[in-house]
Amino acid sequence: MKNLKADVVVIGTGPSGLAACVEASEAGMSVIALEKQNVSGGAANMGMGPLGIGTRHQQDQMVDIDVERAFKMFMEYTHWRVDANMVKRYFEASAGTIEWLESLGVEFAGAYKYFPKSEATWHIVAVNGGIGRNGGAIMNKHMLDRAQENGVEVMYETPAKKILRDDEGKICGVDAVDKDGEEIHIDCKAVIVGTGGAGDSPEYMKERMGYTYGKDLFNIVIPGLKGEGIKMAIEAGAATTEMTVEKIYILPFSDFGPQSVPVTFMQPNLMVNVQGRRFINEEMMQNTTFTGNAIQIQKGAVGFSILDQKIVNGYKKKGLDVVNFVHHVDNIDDFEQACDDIINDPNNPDVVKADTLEELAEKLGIEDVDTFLETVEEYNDMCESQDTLFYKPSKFMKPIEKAPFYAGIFHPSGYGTLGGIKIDDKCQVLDDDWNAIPGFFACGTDTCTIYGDSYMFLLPGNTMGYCVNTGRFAGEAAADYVDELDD
Amino acid sequence: MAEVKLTIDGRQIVADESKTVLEAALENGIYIPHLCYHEDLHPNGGCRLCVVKQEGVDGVITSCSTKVQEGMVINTKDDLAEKVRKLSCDFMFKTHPSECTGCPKYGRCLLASISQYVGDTGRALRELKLRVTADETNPLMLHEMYRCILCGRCVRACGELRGVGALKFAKVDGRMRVVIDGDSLADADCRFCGACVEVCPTGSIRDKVGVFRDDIPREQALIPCSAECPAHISIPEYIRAIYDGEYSTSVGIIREKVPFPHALGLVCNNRCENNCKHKHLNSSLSIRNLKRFAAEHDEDKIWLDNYLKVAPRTGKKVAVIGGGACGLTAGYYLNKKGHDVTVFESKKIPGGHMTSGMPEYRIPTQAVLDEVKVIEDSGVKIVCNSPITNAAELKKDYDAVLVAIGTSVGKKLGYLNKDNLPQVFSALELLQAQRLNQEIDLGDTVCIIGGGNVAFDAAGTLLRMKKTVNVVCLEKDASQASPEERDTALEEGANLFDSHSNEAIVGENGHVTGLQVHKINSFYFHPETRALVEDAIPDSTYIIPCDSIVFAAGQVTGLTEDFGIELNKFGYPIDPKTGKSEYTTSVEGVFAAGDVITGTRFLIDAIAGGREVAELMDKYLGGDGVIDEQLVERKADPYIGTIDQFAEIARHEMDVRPAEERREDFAPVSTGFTCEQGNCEASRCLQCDLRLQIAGPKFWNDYVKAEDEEVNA
Amino acid sequence: MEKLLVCSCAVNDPYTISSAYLLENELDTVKAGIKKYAGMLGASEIIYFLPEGSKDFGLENVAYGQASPVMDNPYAIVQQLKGNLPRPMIQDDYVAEYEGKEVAVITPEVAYNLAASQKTAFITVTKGGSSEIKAVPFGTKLNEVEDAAGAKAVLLGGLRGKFILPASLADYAAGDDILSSSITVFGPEACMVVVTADLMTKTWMNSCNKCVLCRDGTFQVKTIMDDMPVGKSKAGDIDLLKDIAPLIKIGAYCPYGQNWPNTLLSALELFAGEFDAHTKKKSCPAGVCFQAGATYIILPDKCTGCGDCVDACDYTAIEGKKKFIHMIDQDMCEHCGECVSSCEEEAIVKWEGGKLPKLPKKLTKVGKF
Repeated sequence: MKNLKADVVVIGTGPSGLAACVEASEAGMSVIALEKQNVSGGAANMGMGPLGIGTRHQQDQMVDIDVERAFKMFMEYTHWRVDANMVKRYFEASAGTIEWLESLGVEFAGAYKYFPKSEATWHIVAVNGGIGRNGGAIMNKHMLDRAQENGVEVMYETPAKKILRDDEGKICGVDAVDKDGEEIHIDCKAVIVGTGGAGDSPEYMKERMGYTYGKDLFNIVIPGLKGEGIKMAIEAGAATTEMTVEKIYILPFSDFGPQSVPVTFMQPNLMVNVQGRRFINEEMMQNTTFTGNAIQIQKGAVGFSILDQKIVNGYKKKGLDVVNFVHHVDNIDDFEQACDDIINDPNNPDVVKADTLEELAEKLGIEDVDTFLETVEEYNDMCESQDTLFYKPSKFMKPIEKAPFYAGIFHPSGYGTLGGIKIDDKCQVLDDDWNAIPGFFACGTDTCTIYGDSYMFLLPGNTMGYCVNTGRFAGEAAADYVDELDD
Repeated sequence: MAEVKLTIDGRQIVADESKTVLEAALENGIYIPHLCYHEDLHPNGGCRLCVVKQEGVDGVITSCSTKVQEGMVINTKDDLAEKVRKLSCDFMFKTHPSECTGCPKYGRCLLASISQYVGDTGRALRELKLRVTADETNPLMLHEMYRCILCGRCVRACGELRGVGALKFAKVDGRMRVVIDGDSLADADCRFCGACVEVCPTGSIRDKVGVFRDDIPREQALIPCSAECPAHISIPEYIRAIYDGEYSTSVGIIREKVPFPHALGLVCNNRCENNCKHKHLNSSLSIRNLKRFAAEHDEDKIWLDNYLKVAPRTGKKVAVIGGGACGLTAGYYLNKKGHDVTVFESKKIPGGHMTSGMPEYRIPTQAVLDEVKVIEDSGVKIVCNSPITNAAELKKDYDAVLVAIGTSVGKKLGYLNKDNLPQVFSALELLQAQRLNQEIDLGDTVCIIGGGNVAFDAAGTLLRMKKTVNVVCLEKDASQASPEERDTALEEGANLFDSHSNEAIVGENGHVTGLQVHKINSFYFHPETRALVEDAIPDSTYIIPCDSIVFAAGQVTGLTEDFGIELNKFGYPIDPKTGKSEYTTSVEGVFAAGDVITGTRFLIDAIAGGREVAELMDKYLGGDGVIDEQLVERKADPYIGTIDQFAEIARHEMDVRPAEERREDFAPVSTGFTCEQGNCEASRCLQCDLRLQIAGPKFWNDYVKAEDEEVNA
Repeated sequence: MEKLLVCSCAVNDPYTISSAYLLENELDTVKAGIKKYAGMLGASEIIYFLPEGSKDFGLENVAYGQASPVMDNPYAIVQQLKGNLPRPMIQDDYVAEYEGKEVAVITPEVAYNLAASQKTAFITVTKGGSSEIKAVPFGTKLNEVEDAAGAKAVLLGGLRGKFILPASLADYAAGDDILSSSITVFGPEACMVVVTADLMTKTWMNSCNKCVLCRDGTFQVKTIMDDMPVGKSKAGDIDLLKDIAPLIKIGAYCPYGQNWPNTLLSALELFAGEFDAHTKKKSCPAGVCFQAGATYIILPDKCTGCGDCVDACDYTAIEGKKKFIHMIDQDMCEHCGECVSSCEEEAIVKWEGGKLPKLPKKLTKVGKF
């Protein structure tokens, strides 16, 4: 059994934990960070950058978004069913956080939209000046470097097991286990939890939200996100919150195949459900949250994106209708070959191909083939006039006529869960009767309930922004608490 | 080798001239990105991440394959070297899946960690993904080669480190890939040692989910057999010693954990074999029988000198009540740690169950006594024919007492023998009488009540005493017993009355005449009250004629309060602090271990209990509680080479004497492995422990810490 | 440790045939040279390593394998002798071992000059599709070997050499360096982008694929170059090639990887105009690429709106509905001409005349145009 001592223990070194480590150590605290993986950065190592509102980049790019407009838009979007104080504090601090990150050496390529209808709030971390693949990882490294310069000790492959409170209810320590199985006890005055939700625990997601992995949700599993932080916090007296999923939609088995398949089927053509009817203005397919929601409520939680050979040839020759930074391909020349690979792969049911619409409907298991044929016929007629059903702009109205026909089978998915630990806007963890538990702080995805039931995709970079900002809030709050304790 | 002085990033470094620049840097906490380099493999020079600038040399040098020279000045952060690194990182990510989401290696991937440190350049290079479908057709290992970045570590690990060469490079449609040198891993004579999985930086080759447990530390999980063994015997090591023909070394390795290799080799219930990875190929290793093979071929006993070496006397005196496997094991270790140990055994010879609770034909008395003698030779005093009636009393004359009397009293269900007829014995009484040749007044036809292993031990013994034997038990097909035990006895002529429930023992004028029973469809024991609940078949009562009864319905400790320590209602010692049966008891300094606290378990459990309680007692007596010892030198050559058709070699079984012949005497039922069988069976072992020799993944953040310590040290 | 001397005749690249020539015509001198070198090394055994499919020239103890530019590296040779792909090992103290013997290498070219009195360069000159060997003493100016009069470009040294203009031939002299291993002449009609693209494909196929910069570098460069003649290149492609080629030269693991970028860089420099024309204006000064196929149109007055042509077109380039005048979308049209034969009304014609006639822009009924 090893015994250590620190002012503050941070559990989890994703962007939230790292930001908390930097702020707490800048305020003179001795900090030990526990990370169960071999590297720090958590899920954000896959991301590209956080949100910022009213930043220098937006001024340079003449993007007119300010805290007031963003706040009003956000609260309307969430029908005021979220913690307005937290949203306001987070949005207000976001510009400062961008500068704070720049002071740590992070460079930003600029402020970007995710898709045309969204606002340019997504500050993508520059990778050698350009927009690179792993901006989030670079940002995390800068935070880690500063934390270690300040003397923070990061213990890898050392998962925390239990958060301890003394008999007065104050936080007094953390138990953990290192990679050789040896128990570690750390005496501390404050604990900050930031373990990134429970995206890798189908059981806990079923328990908390009723989703059944592989049936009505094909969650993107980020290894390690087991919800241990949430469970530890609840065990130590924290109140819990409603938990949701940052909904997106995917071809579940084609993540690692060529990107030309998902990118082409995500273009705004014809989307039908298993009853053969349209259920969404396909232009919305750029907003992965709205589309994920729409598919979730269809029978069997499935949506079929229909294309014909003419549309595919058009995309090959003249380029795609919609592109974004995350899924970008040079060309889709290998689309047909990739579809055949998927069709021939027994454990990948994502794509179906047929020479007639009837055969396509049967292969998709559409219940009423005639309804489907009517939907297509009606859709093709509207291509010549306008979409009187869901008002999709005519530039995206392409008839489904020329065999062979393709269908991409989309299911709802998510990047992981949101929420689980109840906090106030000072990131203090609250117990069941809303009292702040002394010395107990939490930040990041474990606490993120500000989106209500649907992620606010119109202000992109939102979750990573929430993590870095609340990480800073929690770090400051923990340092203030320890200072008061010492006086 | 001479030493060389050079400068890396402004720091004076002294390194052996055999070292490369990369090794010298890493050993001094200076991180240089590297991916195809692995400290256990030959330098490759393929990934170009480790290039550095050497003053006076234009361009860059490959630090992983350039030896250090006197006066070298190296700059690892040189702008040109960084540019080359970033380009190489860029290229690799264009052929690797661009999305990390959903990748099972995320959080432990070397490529992602390096690209975080080096940072790619965002150049608009072409996406040239390697399009290969995942291959799940091989046992134990998963090939998702669309993640492969062709660093060649797996090919080198399989080739030059292991000498197997099941993986090789090949150009497929003009593009280089790592492929299996054959139609499948088995076809390529792969040894399934997992070295490729251990070195693969991107998780292209991975262990299949479920092969290893993830709830215990990695070192234990990677050797499933040793992890499952209660005493954690180092199984791959002792099997490898057998394969190398060094049987005495093999016994030495076993003895590092258990003092009874031969006994365990005969009767252990080999739970380790359920976890043996080889069962994913065809069937598990015959681990127990190999233990017996080693013990029976250990002529020179090279471990003996170390075995008998004991620590200087501590002056502490320990009494052990019960000379069974648990007591003797604890006694050996406590004596080894310098305490003076006296073992009190109630019967006339030590060995507990081994010499009085199991039939001779399963475990010869002499074999046990030979192993007990070694313990005695190490200084443990064993006093037979001296039952101890009060542990607390005994404690007065000893610094510590261990109660290890096991469960040596057979239960006799009183309600069945209302008239208290005499010819009713417990299985233990029968087995003890046979093993210690004591008188027992048995008739000619015996009904055994109970269907566990002990019941079939009793059946075998009675058959050899020329009795007619009926085994009466509740379980269908006597499923309580191990199939091996049950079938051996049935083949020898025992009659099985399964799915039967007993009503009463019937008798006339003081003699047993039969057992009144009825048939049942099914039964269970009520969870709380533990009462028997039956689905009986109506009016199926009848009497099985017999003239004596043997109960094989479980054993108890036979302890009462006047033994001096607190017991629970079933007669098992408990620690009042927790209310549970534990190593500590109600009396300070009096400990308990083995069947006496766990109830009847297997030999290996008793021995493991002896080890653990010895550690506890040594600490109690002021020692450090460490009883691990190394008795023999052994080698673990990573270069295992190939064996033809390795994956197809079937499990060997020992030759079992025919039923008619073996019924006639108490000689062992099966003859151990022949040398040829033993060596061949040992060759099947996947040697899972070799994988632990390979250095695990190291990330830049493991080094950066070292650099800082250096700076502010 | 005993020594094994391998005479590697599998190092020539696709532009060079000197090894085969020497074995065919100068075998005795080569053997003498090998014997001499073996004596110097104390090598007890000699093996001739020939490319697959080559004649055995009457030699005993011959081994066959893949021709590759790394086949002058002992470790690469050992790999092939063991049946693996050739992969070099460049280490200051590395000893390549095969069956207990240390392997050393010599090529026919070097062996010849060890024995011959007169140091001779056997230069493969390729012109107009045929190759021949020109044997000249060291020091001979290359323009005397081949003047390449009227040619557009000359490639010296094949995959590991560089492009020069014919006039510069005089600046180079025959010797044992790579540049004088071959002279390949490209006539005035050649499109240098197509020539370079073909050269990069050969460079990719000849890479041993061991190191990232050469394996992925050649594949990236080949893919980027292949896009140019078909108008698929991206704006930054030329700058991208100029950015990565020098880095590959510096960072690659072996001499092959450190030299092939010279051909690309010299092409980009000498023929910058042709490269810009292809990437920016999608035009080919040499008239080789972008030969836009003839333009096909549907005559509005003849078309009856029957729709047969729509099914005939594999590239779905024809718009139209029953009883409406059909139209060909020129962006989608691949100029294959299949539609012409599918139209019974012969309404679809290949338009020879310069300016196109007036054609309907949107769907109009037959006869209403």
